[in-house]
Amino acid sequence: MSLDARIADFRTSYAALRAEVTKVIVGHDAIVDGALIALMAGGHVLLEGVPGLGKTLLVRTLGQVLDLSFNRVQFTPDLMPADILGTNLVVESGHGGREFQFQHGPIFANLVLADEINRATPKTQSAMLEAMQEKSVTAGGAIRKLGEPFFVLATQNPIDQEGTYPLPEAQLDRFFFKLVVGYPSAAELNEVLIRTTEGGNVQVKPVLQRERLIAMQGLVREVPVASHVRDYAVRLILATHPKTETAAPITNQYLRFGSSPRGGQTLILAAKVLALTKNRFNVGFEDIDEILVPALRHRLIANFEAEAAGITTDHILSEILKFVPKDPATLRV
Amino acid sequence: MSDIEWIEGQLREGTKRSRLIRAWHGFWRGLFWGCLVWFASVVIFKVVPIHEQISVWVGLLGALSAFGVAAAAGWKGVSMAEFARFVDSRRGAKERVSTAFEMSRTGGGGGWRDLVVADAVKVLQGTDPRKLMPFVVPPIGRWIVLILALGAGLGFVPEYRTAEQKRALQDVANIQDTGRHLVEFAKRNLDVRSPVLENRPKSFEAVQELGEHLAKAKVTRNDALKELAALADRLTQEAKELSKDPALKKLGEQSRSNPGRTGNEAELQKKMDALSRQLGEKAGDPKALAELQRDLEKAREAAAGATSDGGQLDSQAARSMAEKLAELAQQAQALGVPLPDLEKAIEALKRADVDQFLKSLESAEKSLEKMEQMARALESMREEMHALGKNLAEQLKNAQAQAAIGTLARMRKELEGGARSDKSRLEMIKELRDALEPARSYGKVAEHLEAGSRKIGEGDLSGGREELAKASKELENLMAEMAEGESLMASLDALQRAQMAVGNGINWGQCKGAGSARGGKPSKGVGTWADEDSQLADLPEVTERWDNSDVQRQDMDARGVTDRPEDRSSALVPTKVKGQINPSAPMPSITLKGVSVKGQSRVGYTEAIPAAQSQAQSALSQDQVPRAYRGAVRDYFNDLKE
Repeated sequence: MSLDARIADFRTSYAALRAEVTKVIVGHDAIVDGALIALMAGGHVLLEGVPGLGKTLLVRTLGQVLDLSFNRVQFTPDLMPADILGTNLVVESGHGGREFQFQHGPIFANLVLADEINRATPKTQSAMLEAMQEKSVTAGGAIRKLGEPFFVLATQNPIDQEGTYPLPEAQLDRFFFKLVVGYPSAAELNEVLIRTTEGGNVQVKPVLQRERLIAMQGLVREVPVASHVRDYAVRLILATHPKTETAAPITNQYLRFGSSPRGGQTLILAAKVLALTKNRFNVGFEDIDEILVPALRHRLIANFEAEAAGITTDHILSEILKFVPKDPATLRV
Repeated sequence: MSDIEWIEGQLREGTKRSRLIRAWHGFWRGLFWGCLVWFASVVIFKVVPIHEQISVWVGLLGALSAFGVAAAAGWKGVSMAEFARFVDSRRGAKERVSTAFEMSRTGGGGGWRDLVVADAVKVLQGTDPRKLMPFVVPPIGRWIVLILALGAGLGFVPEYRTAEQKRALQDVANIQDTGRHLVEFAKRNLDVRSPVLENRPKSFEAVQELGEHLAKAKVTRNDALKELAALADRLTQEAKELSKDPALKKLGEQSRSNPGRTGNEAELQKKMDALSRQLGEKAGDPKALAELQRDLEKAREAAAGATSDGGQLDSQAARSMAEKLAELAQQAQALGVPLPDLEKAIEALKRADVDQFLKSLESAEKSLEKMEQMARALESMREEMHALGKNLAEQLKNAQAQAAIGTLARMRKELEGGARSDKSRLEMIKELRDALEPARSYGKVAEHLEAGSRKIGEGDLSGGREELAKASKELENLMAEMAEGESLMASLDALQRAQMAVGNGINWGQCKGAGSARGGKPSKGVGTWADEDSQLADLPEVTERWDNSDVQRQDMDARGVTDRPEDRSSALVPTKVKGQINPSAPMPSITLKGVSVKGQSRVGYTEAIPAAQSQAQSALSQDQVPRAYRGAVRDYFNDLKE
């Protein structure tokens, strides 16, 4: 298949996927787009919002429209790592003996919904670290590869809710995006009420097969990025590092830790997907700007002063965006 | 041409234009900053007394800076990558062009490169560099116009200067003007006089140097006065040393008592002969000539008064006038004065040509006036001749050095022949010996005269002549020294005038001063009853010539020499005004500006005296010291150094 055809197929598939999802999800365009971008880039998504906003529904719908294996794990405080990863069980062998057999946990699927992930203890949360980054599970002394593609779509309630445990920084860093689900607008809410109280259930059908999704992910990585655009992403990441020469003033004031290099990878990959979806063949500054907040908001650790003043990482990132010049070498006439 | 080549061609064209545009914008930026700095300099000038030329120069530099910045901005090349990014940012091309250019340069990318390049071509096809970078005045131009307008408006705003600053500026201008006058004075004197001694001519040079310094440097009044006083002190010291020479002292006295007289007998005789030839033998009485001139003037005035509106004299008046003129012609004849104009006037009267008559009379008057002046000059020369010593002894005694040099020259000439009679030799020896006593005041003149007389007596005429030549040379040197002394005094006068000008803050021309003039003679304002303290004293000096032809002064001589008539003007009667200061009482204290009378002095001893002298000079010049104590104050501060 030619490049033109691959790109055209990407755009068509993406549009179909989005259209199918939006049959179920009312509003939340940015959330839907964010989830799809992460999907195309091969990243995991953390959805945060108060209960009842459709987080789980979104992930479930994605599971339905993608022709992939789907598992759901409801995180609770008594959930153990083995409940996620799987464990060795003693089973009788065919010839009368007994042997250990690994019982796969729900993590062994292409699409995993980790519902209310922050209701499990940090110990259980951390069980997913290896799976999310290396796409493999080590259990009973054996390393087991997870299938491709592998996505974790986690939901969590705001940390000030009762019975929640904040995700450790290492865990957070493994999420490609953190999407904050807000309240719907009046029109959206109206539409939700109509769909859920009057008509029948909307049926969605799978529109994207596993192989095509992998091909799309491969295509994304081919999108060219000019050096000065990449430099811009680098400068943005460096501007989040407090107490350095490149730090923005607000960084030094309100941040304890800045973004890891994963943040930079996220910026470029997400920008590539965005460029393709916007009918371009190259990444622009605008793409970087657009995905900066969901890509980095969970990677910055605010200090006490920021928390005391109610300064969110979203605000800090918007200030950093103003501080970092797009292209210092641009010709000035 | 491939798409990549086309893109590069477009970008190359764009870089050329962007250089020009950058230079264009640089020009305006430079102009803006230049205008801003110029405006700042104008504001500073309006508030602080800086030199007004500074703003002009800053303005010029500002204009030049515009070209400088333009050249610097245009000098730096623009890369195609830079221009590609510029197009992206201006066209909102989402980095299509810059990405395409980068991919074309780095190679690789395969199909992606073709897609990106094709995308960039679409963007560039709709891009015209001339529209993208038009030659228009940038927004900064409005600020430039505003700044220039404000600057021009400031031109109408008067400068803010405190009274002290105004005075300081006036002082500086006055000091510079005084300096220029000092330079002019010194140059004029250096051109005229050729100094003989090695150290003395430096006085003029020092005056010139000081004048140049004052004319160029901006010094305060106190500093200027200090420098003037220091130089005046030095020159005074030199003058004092010079005055210790008794010969010079004597020559100086003679020079002061007979100013303008040469003392050269031969030259004097030559001039007298020339004047006598012009006047004739009889016409030597200036009084008679003056009387004749007055009669002639009265006759002319009478004729003018008797002339009718038609310009004619009646017969009676004409007859009377003819008789008067005939009488005057006879008087002129008797005085030996030929007056052809008077004859012409009589002829014109006969013809009733009144205009010609009056013109001829006026011409006759002028001729008479000229003759009277010549007669007076002749009389003065005769007096001078009479005052000249008859022999060498008298000439030396009277300090008539020029005459003595003439006498010695005559003697040498007489000795040149060699064959002199005993009688004439004895007479010469006697004259020389008689002159020995007065010659002792003239350095080695007496020694040479004595040696000369001895050698003549011994028959060594050439030796005697040499000795006389040496004596003559010695006298010439003394005269040269005398001239130098006069130069020194002239320098001191000039310095005093400069001190007065600087101290009073008035210009040089207004300082032809009260006090004593050269030669010990009183200058204006001294020995009169003028009210010098009135405001009239501050009026500027009138330099035009007064027409005082009709002023009849009651007496021309000094007060006390002649009797004054009883009916003299009441304004000339001296009156006693009761003074407020009693000379015998203790001197009242005066506070002088700048002199600290309390606390510990931080001024060095050597600096304190000139400073005090300059302050005192300033105070004296500005009438801060009561008149009765001025002499005492001046003497005290003059003697401080001693």
